[in-house]
Amino acid sequence: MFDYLANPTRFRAITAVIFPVAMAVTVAALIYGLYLAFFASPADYQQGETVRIMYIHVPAAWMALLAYLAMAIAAIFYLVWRHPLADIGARAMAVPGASFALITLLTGSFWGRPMWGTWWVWDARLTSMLILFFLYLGYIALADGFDRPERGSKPASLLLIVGVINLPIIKFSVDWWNTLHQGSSVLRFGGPSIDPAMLLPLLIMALAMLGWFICVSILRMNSLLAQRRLTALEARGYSPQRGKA
Amino acid sequence: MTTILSLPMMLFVHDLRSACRYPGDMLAPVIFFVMITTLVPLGLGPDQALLAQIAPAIIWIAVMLACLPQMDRLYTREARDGVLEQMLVSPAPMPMLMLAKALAAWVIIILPLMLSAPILALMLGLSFNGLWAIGAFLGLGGLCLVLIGSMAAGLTLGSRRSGIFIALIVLPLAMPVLIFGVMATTAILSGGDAMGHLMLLTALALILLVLAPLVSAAAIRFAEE
Repeated sequence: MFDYLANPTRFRAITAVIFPVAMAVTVAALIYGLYLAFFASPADYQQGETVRIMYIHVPAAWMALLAYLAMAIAAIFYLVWRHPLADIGARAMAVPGASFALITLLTGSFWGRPMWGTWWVWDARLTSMLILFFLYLGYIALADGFDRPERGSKPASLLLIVGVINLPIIKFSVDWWNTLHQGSSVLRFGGPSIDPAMLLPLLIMALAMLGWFICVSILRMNSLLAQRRLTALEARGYSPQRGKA
Repeated sequence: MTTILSLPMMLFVHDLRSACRYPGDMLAPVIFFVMITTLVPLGLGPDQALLAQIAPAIIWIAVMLACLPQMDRLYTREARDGVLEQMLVSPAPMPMLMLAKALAAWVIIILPLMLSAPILALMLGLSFNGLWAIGAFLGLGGLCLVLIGSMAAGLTLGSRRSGIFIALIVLPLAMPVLIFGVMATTAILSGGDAMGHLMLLTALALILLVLAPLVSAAAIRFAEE
């Protein structure tokens, strides 16, 4: 299956089918999810209307983690099977992943202001999300940090794997250090403690963000592929202005 | 068996001897360390009680920052001279050679910092008991820092601006070291039990002792391809 996807032309053909589907899902889920989040869901009995920030904040945090995990899996595929598309995939996912981490931090800050009384607290979850954001920046910098772009692929992939091994350690150490954030209320033993009226918009928004992430990643992968092709053509003496040399 | 241990040992001794040839280079991180620690009271005001309270954090952060510029140069000379290529084709396993280099870097970079830390701690208003602990904990935390730094140095080998990349890679990965190190130091200084933090710091060092040489070896293989 993986070898089948290896061919960039075939990849483009497959993504040409996936892209519109993902786009449709994104738009539909986003409209429905935002409607639910801002109008149809109840306000929290303690937090009032500000709880609606959660519908952006929490799915973005999930996506930030998921994207990093997906990048690390792509990195393993790249290092083990030497698959150029896997590297392009990891590179393509880095910027949207980092954006999700940034969105989580910003919305968390907007939520923290009315709830905790400050824009930023040095709480365990905020801090580990900030560190995740730094890990993204480190990957992006290293992947683009070499004069020959392909030269950065292997060290950057290795960094992703090291990052994934370290992520639980960082998470644990920061939890140990300080915790103010509310506990997890969706994934836990004995079923979610969150009200179904709030869980539904949360999941719909997560679907919208996942769809958006897939769309952007496909777009970026195709543009990176086109860029590589252009570089290869230029190396063979083809110039866009003059046509074939 | 012999090459597995003897070649890394030789490399370790060689690195120490070539470091001794330029003692000024060994002093540079210490001077940097002293400078950073001096800046804090100047910026904060000479309040002894406040300084004593944040002294462990200041010392640990200063050590982290003092290490960073040294990490940049961990493999650059060897890469230029072609030594790394020779290491790759040598009969000793590459990760063992990387481990030897990291341990030598620990002696060259961390040991002087460890020895100077208690003096700075006194200047920051800490009492005399527990000073040995500051040095000892820094040694353990410093081992983690050097190992993380050796990974970063391998990964950034040949990149455009390795200095800033090393900082971007090392600092997030080194945050657990800072957290456990400062907590252990604070616990000892306040007469509490530092065992828990110390064990976690040791666990971290053990994980890195296995992981870092493998990663550095792989990174250098990529760089020399």
